[in-house]
Amino acid sequence: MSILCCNANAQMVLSGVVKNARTGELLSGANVTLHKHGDDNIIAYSICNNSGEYSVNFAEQSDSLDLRVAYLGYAEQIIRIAPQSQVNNFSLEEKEFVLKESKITAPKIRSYGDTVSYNAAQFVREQDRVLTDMLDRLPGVEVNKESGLVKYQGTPINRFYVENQNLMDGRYGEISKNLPVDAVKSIEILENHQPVRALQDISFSEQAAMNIKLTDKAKGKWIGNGFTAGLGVSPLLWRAEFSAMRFSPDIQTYVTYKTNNTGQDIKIYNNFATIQIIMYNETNTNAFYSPFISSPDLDKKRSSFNRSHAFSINNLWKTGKESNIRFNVDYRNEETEQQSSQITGYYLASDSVYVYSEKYNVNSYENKLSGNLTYTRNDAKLFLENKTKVEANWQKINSQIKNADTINQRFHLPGFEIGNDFRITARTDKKQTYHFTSNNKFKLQPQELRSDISASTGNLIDFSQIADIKTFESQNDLSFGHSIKRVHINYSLNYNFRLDGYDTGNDIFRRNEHIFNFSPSLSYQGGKFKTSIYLPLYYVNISGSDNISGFSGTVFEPSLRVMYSIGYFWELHVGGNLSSDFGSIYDVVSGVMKNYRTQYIFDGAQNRSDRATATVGLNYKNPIKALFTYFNLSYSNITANNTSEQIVNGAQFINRIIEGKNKMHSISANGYISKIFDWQRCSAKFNWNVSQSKSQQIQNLMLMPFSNFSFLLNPSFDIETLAGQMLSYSVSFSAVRSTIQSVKQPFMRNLKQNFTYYIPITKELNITLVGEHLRNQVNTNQHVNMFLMDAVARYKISSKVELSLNWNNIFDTREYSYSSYNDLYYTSYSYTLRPMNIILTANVRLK
Amino acid sequence: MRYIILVTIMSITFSIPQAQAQEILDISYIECSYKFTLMRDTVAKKKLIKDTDMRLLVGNKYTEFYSYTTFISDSIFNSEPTVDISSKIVDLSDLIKNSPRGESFKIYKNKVEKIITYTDEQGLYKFLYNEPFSKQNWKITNETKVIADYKCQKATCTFRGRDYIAWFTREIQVNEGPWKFSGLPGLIVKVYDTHEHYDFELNSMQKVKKAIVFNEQDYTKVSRTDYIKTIRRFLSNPLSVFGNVEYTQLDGTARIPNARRYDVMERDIK
Repeated sequence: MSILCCNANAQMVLSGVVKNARTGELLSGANVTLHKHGDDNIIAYSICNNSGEYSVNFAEQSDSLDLRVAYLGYAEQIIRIAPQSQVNNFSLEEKEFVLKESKITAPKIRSYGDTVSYNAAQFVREQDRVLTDMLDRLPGVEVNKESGLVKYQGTPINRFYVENQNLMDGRYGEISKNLPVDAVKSIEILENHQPVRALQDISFSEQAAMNIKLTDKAKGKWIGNGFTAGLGVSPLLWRAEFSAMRFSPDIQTYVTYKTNNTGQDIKIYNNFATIQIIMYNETNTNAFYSPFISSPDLDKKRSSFNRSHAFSINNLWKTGKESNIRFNVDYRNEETEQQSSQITGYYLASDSVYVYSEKYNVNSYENKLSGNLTYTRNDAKLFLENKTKVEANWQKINSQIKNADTINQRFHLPGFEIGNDFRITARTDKKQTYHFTSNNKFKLQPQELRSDISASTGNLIDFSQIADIKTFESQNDLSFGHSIKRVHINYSLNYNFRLDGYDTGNDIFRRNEHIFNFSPSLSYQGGKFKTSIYLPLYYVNISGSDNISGFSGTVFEPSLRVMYSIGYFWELHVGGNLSSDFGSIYDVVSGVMKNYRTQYIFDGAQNRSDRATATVGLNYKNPIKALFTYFNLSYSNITANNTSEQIVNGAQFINRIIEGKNKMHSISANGYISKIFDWQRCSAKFNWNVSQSKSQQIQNLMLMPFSNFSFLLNPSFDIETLAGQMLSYSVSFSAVRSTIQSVKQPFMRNLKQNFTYYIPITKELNITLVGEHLRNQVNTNQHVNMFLMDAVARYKISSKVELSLNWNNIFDTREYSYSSYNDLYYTSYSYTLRPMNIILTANVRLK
Repeated sequence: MRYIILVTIMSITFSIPQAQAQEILDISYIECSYKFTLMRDTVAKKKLIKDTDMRLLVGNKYTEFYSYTTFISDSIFNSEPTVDISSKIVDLSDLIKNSPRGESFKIYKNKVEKIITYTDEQGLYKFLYNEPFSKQNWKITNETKVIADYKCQKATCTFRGRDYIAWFTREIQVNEGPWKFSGLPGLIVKVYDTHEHYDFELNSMQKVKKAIVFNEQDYTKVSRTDYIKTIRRFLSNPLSVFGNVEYTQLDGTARIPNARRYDVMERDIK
C-alpha cells in the first residue's frame, strides 16, 4: 500500500525486505533508492511498508545500477545490480546519525512576553572577536564602544546578567569587551525589568536588562582571551594582557590583568554610575577643572600616551537558590601625557570676541583601588542586599602652560571613600510590601592645586589652593505598600542628610542638609497599560557655617509615568515631573581657584532651581522583520534663582554666581531606526537628534540672552560585499549654531566617516582595514581635514594561537583638532596623536 | 500539567484555562523548524512570512507539525524558552497578550495506521478531522540544488488542486516533510506550489527527544470538506467565525472586514 513509484513505464521490479541487523525488526520507512552506478541522483525509489517490504519499479536501461538502502540511525548499504527484476533483502547496522552543527539555526529574533531573544549565531560575523563587536549589530541595541554602556530602545539597561547572575554590576563593559563571541548562544533583553523579584508584579521599571546565555560548551569552562603579548616600534611599545572567566551554575569568576603603553584603554567603567548620580543626587566631585581634554569623536587609543597597569578580580558564589555573595576588586596604575593647544573665544557684548590661547603639556600619575563585597538574596518574597564598598584613589597632575606666560600647575587629587548600602524588601501573600533602606557613605578628599608663574607678563599670580573636603551622607527610607487588585499603593518615609566640610585654606565652609520626605505613590500594571504616580512632599533644611545662607521650607515633587502598549509592536511612553535642586557644597564655596586662571565666586542666594520636565516617546519593535525604532521628545523648563556671570579680564577668568532669576528652556528630539536585511547579511542603523535651548548669562556685566540649536545625523551599516568580505561604514554629521543677543552666529559643522573592511584571505589569514575621516570646523571660517588609517593582519597558527600585526596611523597624522561650544564661549582644541607605529602581538586563547 | 488555551481573533482576547487530558503518542528523534511564507495578496503578489518557526517532530510512529511560535505564546509550562521562567514571576495574562501567535493548525500523522489528524482553532471553534493518507505521486527529476546547506533533489507532484515542487535531501533519511507532505526518500527541505502561494522552507533541525503530545480538547469533529468550506467562508468574511455577527462602527454603520485575498491550500473542495 505504501509502495510509491515514480516511473509509470515500469518493466522491472526490485523487491525485498529490510531489517535491523541486530534485532531483526522490520524497518518500516526505510528508503530504497535506485541510482545509476556512482551517481547520487535517484531514478526510482520505494519506501518500506509496515512489513519492511519494498518494491521499486523501473525501466532504466543502464548496464550498471546501484541500489541503496538508507534509514536514519542506520548505516547505508549500497549494492551494485544488473538491470533486471530481482529480490534483495537487507539487514542494516545501527549507526548514530550526526547533524552538522552549523545547520542548527533558529529565527534571528524571538519575542515572548517581555523577553526579546537574539540568536547569536545569526548576528555574529567572521571578524567579530568579543561580545561588544556583535552587540551593536543587534537591532534595538546600542553600545558605547568606550565604556561598554548598553542601551535598549534608547534607554540604558539596569542589569547585565550572564546566565542570570549579576557578576559585574555596573562594570559589565569588562565582560562584553572580553567575552569571546563564540561562547555566546543568545542575548536576551528583559523589558521593563524589575530586578527585585518581590516587586516584579507590583512596581515596574522602564529600563530593560540584558542577559547573556552561553553555549553549552562554554558553560563552566575557563574561557576568554587568555594570554596576549605584543611588542612594537616606535618608540618601544609593549602590550600584555591576561583575561579569563568562568560561568558555572554555582560560581562565576572574572580575572584580568592588563598592561600597555600603546594607548589601549584599560579603565574599568561603571555604567550604572550615572544612574546612581541621579538617584543619589550626587554632583561632580572634583574641586578643580581637569587640564586633560578629549574629543568624544576620536578613539582614545590614538591620542593617549600612557603606561598603564590594571588588575581586576571578581567572584560570585551562589549561597542558595536565590542568594549569592559577590566581591569585586579593581586596581589601576596609570601614567599619561598629553600635549595640546587651546584657543578660547569669549563672546562679549556688541558682537565682539575676546580670544585667549594656551599650550598645554600635561602629565598625570594615578593610582586607584576599589572594591566591594555584596550579599544579595532575591526571592519572590524577600529581597535583601548589603553592599560594602571602599575606594581609594590618588592622582597627581602636573601641567605646564605656555602662552605669553609660563605657568606650572600641580594638582594633588587624593580621595578616600567608604560606604555601606543596605536594603530589605519583603512582601506578603496579600501583596503587601515592607521596605527599609539605609545607605551611608563617608568621603575624604584632601586636594590641592599649586600654580607657579615663572615669567609673568599679565595679571596672573602664584597661588596654592587647598580643597580639603569631608562628606558624610546618609539616606534612610522606610516604606509600606499594599495592593488592591492591580493597583499598588506605597507610603514611604525618608530621612536623608548630608554633612559637608570644605576647607579652602582661607575659609572653612560647613553645609548641613537634612531632608524629610513623605511620599505616597501609586502604581498600576494592567496588561497593556502601566502607570506610576509619585507625590513626595519634602521638608528641606540647609544650615551650616556663617558663610552659607541657610534655607528651610517644603517642596512638592510630583511625577507621573505612563506606558501603553499599542498592539504588539508599539509602545507609548508619556511622563512629566517637577523637581527642585538645592545644589551642593561645591556650588557655595566661594573665592576658590579652579585652575591657574579661573576663579569661582559665589555671591548668589541659597541655590534653588526648579525644573519641570515632560517627555513623550514611542517605541516600535518587530522581531519578525528585525525592525526596531524609537522616537523621543522632551521639554524642560528650569527656573533658577541664581545666574552665572563670566568676567574676562586679560588672562584671568572669573566665573561668578550672582542672585538673579534665570530661566532655561530646552526642547530636544531624538530617534533611532535599525533593521537587519537578509540580503548580503546587511544591518543598517540611523540615529538622529535635534535640540534647541534658550537661556541667559551675564558676560562682563552685560546680560546676554542666548540660544543654541544643534542637530546630528548618523547613518551606519554593515554589509557583506564579496565572498566573506565585510564592510562597516558610519557617517555622522553634526552642526551647532548659537544665537547671542539675537545675532545669529554661523553654523559650526563637523563631519566624521569611519569604515572597517574585513578581508579573509585564507582560512588562517585575514586583514582588517580601519579608516577614519574627520572634517571639523575649528572656527567660523576654517575646517580641518584629518585622515587616519590602520591595518591589521591576523594569522591563526592553530585554533588557540593567533598572531596579529597592527600597522597603526599609516598616514602618520600627528594632530587632532576640534571645537566645543559652551554657551557664551567656544574653545578650539588640538592635541597630539600617536605617530605611525607597528605592533606584533601573539594571543593564546583559553578554550 | 496544565495547558492554557488561548483564542485570539481580531484583537478580542479570551483566555480559558482548563485542565485537559493529554496523550503522549510518541517520542521524536529529530525536530525540524520551517519558515512558512504565504502570498497574502495573490493579486498584488504580496508575500507574508506567516510563521517563522513551524516545527516538525518526527518519531517512529507519529509525526507532529505545529507552530512553535504559537506554542511559546500559549504555554508557560515548557522547558524550552531560553529565559529562566522559574526565576521570574510571570504575569500569565501579560505573557499571552503580548506574544505574537503563529499558525493555529496542528497535523498529526499516524504512520502505522496511515491516518492524518488535523486540528485547528478558528475564533471560538476548535476543529478536528481525520483523513487517510492520500498518496502524493511524486515525480523525481534530475535537478539538484543546495538549500540550507543540504544537497537537494527536485521532485514534483499534483496534490489537491495545486502543483507542488519539493526539494528533498538524501542526507537526512527521513521520508517526511512539512504540512501533509511526505513520501520522498529523504527529508523535504523546501516545498512550494508553482504559483508560490504557499511555501515551507527548512530553517534548521536538531536531534532531540521530545514528546509528541495530543491534547484532548472539546474539538468539534468535522469532515475535511466542511472544515475547508468553513475556512473559505472565514477568508471571505473574517467575522463569520462568530456566526452571523455584524460589526457595527461608532457611527452606527455596518462594516464587513476586508476579505482575505488568497485561497485555501487545498483547492480540491469548492
